[in-house]
Amino acid sequence: MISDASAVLTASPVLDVRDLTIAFRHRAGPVQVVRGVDLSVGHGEIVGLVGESGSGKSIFARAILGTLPRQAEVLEGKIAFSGSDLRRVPPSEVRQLRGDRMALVPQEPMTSLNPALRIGRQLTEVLEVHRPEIGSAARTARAIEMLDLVGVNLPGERLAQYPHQLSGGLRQRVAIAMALICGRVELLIADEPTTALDVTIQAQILDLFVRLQEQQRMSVLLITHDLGVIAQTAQRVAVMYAGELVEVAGVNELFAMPHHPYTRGLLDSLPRGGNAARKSHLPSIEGTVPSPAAPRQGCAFADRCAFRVDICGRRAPMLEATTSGRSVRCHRWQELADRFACRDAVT
Amino acid sequence: MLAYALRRIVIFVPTLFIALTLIFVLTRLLPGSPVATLLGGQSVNAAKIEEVSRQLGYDRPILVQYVEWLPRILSGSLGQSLFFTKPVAEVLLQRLPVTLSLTVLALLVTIAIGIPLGIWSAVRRGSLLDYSANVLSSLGMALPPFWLGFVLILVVAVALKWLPSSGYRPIEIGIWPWLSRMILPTIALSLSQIGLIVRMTRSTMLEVLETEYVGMARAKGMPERIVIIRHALRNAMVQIITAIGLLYALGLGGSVIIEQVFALPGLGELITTAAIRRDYATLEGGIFYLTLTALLVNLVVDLAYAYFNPRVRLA
Repeated sequence: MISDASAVLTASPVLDVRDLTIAFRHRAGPVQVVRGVDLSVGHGEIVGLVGESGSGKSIFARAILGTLPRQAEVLEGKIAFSGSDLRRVPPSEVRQLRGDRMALVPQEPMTSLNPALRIGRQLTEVLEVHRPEIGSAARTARAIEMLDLVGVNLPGERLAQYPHQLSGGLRQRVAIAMALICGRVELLIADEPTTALDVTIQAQILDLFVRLQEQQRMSVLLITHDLGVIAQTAQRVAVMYAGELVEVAGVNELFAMPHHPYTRGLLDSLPRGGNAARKSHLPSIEGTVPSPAAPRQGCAFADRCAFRVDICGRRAPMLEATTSGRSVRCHRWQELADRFACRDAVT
Repeated sequence: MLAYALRRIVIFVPTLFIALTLIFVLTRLLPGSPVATLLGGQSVNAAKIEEVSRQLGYDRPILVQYVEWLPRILSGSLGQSLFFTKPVAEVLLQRLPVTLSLTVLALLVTIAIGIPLGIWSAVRRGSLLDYSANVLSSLGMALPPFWLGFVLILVVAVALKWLPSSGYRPIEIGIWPWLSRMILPTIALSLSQIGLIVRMTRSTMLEVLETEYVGMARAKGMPERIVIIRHALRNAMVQIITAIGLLYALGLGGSVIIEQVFALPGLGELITTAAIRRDYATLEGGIFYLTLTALLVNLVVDLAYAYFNPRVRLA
């Protein structure tokens, strides 16, 4: 498989996923929900992983963390974290990495904090497990310090509160504090960290994210369906469709000139000044993501693609490197890139 | 928490009042009269029955009887039985430890076996243990406790002679004499309850194990033991606790039958006899005691519920 743009950016990535295939066990045989994904996250890099719901993003994240649901399994591939292949590391050691050197900021702050445990307990237990040398008083102090760092007011009083006493934005701040409390995070996986929040809170949380990422010099895999979020934060973007990466590019290049018709569709469906002025309706991509169980021949996006030609239905395109160090999975990318370059030049 | 506890205790009062009213009305709705039984059935003439009824006050309007009865039973003086020489309260207090031994032991055994088995089944879903627990709990729920009691007596007491078959010894005589006679009835009573609690625990745990906060606990690198006990079970307990309260009430019903099978001189056995004889005072007193224990257990359940569910506690 052809390497993606990461090789150019960093020498040894924090996370290097190669040819990862994940399947759900099913009566009729395994159903592949992630197919042959190559993705790396370099030191201090924020990589966005974009796709519709059902495209396999969250399962991909859970595979990295080693917390796949019981009916899912990694069929093949390599998940290298700081050089070691997590698939070859015993599960107990992977568990010790979780919450310590790699951490998760969850999607739903409303449901991902335990309703029966105090905020303080949920923060300090992470230290108890990963930093047993720290005493109880120091753990509490550290929890207060973290809450303060992520902008929770009255941090001392929050420790005694339960999640239902906090707003969604506050809960997400607590979740971020929980992810970073050990202070040794190398890879932060944020799975739709702002999706469940109000727009104003979203912006605050994203700002916090970027600030913390710089402060702590960690690498971030930011999973979202929202290209707007990517534009504000990420340096590099991988677009996932039906379990496959269809395009990987630097964020500026991607927004300036998307190569894959699906990426183009995603960008067109973003509300933008020019767009909104011209039309009352935002364009959307017709149809839905094909079922991973459906037999597939040719390009997974073919059925919804406005640029479909004969070959798209017959032969699946490979992820190929473009001239500018990007990669794209489309038979016609070159042709389309030329065409759109012309059109954009005209308008 | 204190405010919540006080609220629960205040609600206890009207509940008790309603229960008492039901006890009174249902007892008086029973066809037949205690006087006829007392005087020896059909052969006695109607005039005699009427005369004794008047002496006992049973001829007065039911409402008058009720108004007189309610404060009396609340004060704990349950009156005089027509069939015992001792006051009813004294008879009941003698019987109460037997029934409490049986129902509380059965409940403890149910909790001690049912909850861990349910947790294990949920965690090892689809394993041999899960299937075995499933089969055993179905069997436990399907087998009638009285039949199970007879089988236990025949096998363990009669054939193997490991344990006494029946009777009761107060705990004051010694732990073993008391316990040895409680083991078989406890098994007979708790087996169906265990089946119920295993299923309840299993399904609730399966539900909770799928939640995002359990996923989050795993993502934080919590060891599986902590994920299951601290994160999952704590939340599942809210529902399990509710089931335990219901189970105790069910167990009281079952104890009436089990006491007959094992010849245990408990409240259940007393109530059965009293019902047949239309012995109002004993019947009402007996049911009152059983109701009281059930209400107390449910009060404890309510408080435990708040302990496991902060949203209830702080509401």
